Amino acid sequence: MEDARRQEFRTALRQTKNLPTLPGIVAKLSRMAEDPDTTTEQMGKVISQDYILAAKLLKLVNSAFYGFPQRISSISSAIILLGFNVVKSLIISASIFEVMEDQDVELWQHSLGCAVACNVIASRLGVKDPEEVSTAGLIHDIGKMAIKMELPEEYGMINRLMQERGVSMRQAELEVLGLDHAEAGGWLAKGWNLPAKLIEPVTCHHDPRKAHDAQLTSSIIHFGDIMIRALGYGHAGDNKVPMLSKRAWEFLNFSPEDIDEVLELVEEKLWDVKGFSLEVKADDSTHAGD
Amino acid sequence: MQQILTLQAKDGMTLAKDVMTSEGRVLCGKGTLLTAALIERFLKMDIVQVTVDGHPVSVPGEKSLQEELLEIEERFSEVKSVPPLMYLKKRLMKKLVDSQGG
Amino acid sequence: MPRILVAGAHILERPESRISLESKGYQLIVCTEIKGAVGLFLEDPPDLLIVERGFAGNGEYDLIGVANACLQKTNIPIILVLSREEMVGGLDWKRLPVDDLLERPVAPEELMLRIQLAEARRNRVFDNNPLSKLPGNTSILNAIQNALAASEPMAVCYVDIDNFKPYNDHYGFSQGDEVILMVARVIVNVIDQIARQQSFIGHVGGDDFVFIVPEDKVVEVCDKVLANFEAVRNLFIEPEDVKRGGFVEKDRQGRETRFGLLSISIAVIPTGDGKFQHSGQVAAVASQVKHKVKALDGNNYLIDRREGYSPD
Repeated sequence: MEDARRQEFRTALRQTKNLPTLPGIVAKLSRMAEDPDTTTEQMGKVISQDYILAAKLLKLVNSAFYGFPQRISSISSAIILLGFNVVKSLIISASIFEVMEDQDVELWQHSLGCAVACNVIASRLGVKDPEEVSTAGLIHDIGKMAIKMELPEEYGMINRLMQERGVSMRQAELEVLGLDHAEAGGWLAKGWNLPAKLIEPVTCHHDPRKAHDAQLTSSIIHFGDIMIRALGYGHAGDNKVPMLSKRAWEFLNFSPEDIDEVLELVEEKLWDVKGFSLEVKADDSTHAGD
Repeated sequence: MQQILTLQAKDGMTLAKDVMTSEGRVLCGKGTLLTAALIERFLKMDIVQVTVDGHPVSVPGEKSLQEELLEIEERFSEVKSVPPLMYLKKRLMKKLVDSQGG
Repeated sequence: MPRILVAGAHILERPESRISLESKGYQLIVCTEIKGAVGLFLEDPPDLLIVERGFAGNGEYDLIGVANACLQKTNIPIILVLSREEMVGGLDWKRLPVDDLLERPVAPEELMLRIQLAEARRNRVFDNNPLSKLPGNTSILNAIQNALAASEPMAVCYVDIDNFKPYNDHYGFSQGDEVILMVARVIVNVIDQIARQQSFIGHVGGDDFVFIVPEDKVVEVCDKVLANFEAVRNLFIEPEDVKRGGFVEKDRQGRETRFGLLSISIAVIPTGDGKFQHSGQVAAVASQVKHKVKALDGNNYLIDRREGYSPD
């Protein structure tokens, strides 16, 4: 893959402006914003279940305007610093899918599931601030949406390649673009001025060896991603459980009991999230399948 | 038995597992016959899921146990040489069999 | 080149309007729907907003709310455009905190003058703190006087960041500025949620803030300010220092001392019952209370409970 083409893709992806999300989420948040009793924290909780709005929120709070460049790495902190009016503005200006495809919902579910898994794994490992890890876990696949929106032709080719040859999405991305969604997501995060502790895990979630300071977080997301795919919750583009990174496994150092307990907890927490999913899907009246 | 969302529960289903409060006390024992009033109460108390006898809720696109097991096999097909992942696979399959068979 | 957001399809109806403004160096951005307009404030705030009554349904309320919440630019002037009929019955100024009005159909000469007036008026306000954009000393003293004269019992609160000077020395002024901005935002957002109507927030300078809220809301506000500060504070401190619970820096005498992490101290002075006659007295009491509350470790607030005022 020539460098020139890669540069082209990189430029296109870094300029990603339109990242739509599920109409149901925006509808719910709009209702909440109109209700005088809604607190900023309550809106934050809903936003932390949508990877697109969460990423936009983080981009906003880390922008030069607010004065905290590359500093804010959790959604609850972003909410505290931005305040109700700004969060409301974000919702008003949010774009939604005109026509929603199954893939979009499935990717949303996968992202949410990953956030849940990362929270459980991080807590089990005694990480001081599991929310930061689950935030990274939430947005880890944002590169996929960027590719879909900015490079639709290539996105089509990637999907066709997966169908024809049964390869993983990542493999198809590398063949068609010379880069994968992890790298793309990392560029986006960097362009948005997100802190390094969010950029690294996004870039390195398939290969935690590449990380410098965020090796543990990257490993957690790596395994969280695997776990959610294994559970078949949501759909990450292809249905295969990817190879487990040796480095990641070294960091996690999980025993069979650890796996059992984490699995148990993750399944339990996914149930809480399933109710929300139903609510959000029911809210949407633009689903292509109907 | 089947684990379902409380939202999906209906009059006439029977609890296959105790329903616990968040403090760990048994709210409703297994074997209890569910009524609309009881389900309403569960929802008010934020009890998100219940496990009921049989398999009363047909999930769209739901597959048979056989199909689900095959799917899991398929998901792990590229990582057969990785012990922790094979362990994970085994646990998942066992859970599936337990929940549907019971 | 000043950028003006024109929210409404009819404002620049007369072609001369656009031509004359652009020839004077103004960049005009026209929006006819709310998403784009709000999005602009988030991405790249304009220098002035002109919005039509009835913009995008009832969108002018949201848009004006966003413009006012924009802390990064000093008070973006807002001009509301409305027809004579719409002026009948008055306007709710609380919901429409605009700076000027313009009658429809818009005369190009008047449009130009009102824009220039809005800018001139904005420049006359010299009082705002350049970092946080919050009102400064003069406005604060005025606000305290108003609180003393108010019929409802109010509380004047003085906020101080503990260990700020050593933090500044240790982490550098740039990061120190970030912390000041952070505290400003925490206070503004909490009060916005809990006590927007009769409150005031000012920035004395450095790490000192003053806010005034109704007395019956002050406990809730202080609790939330401390809690929110606690929640974000560690983002501004190195993990090793967080673990150690402090950092080592030189004190005012030049000796190496261990300092605790940043915390907030609030001195709360209720001003009801005609206790005080003027702001100087409030400040004097605040000084004493501040001394007490800063001596406490960690985040704290202390409410002055004395009955009358007696100069010590």
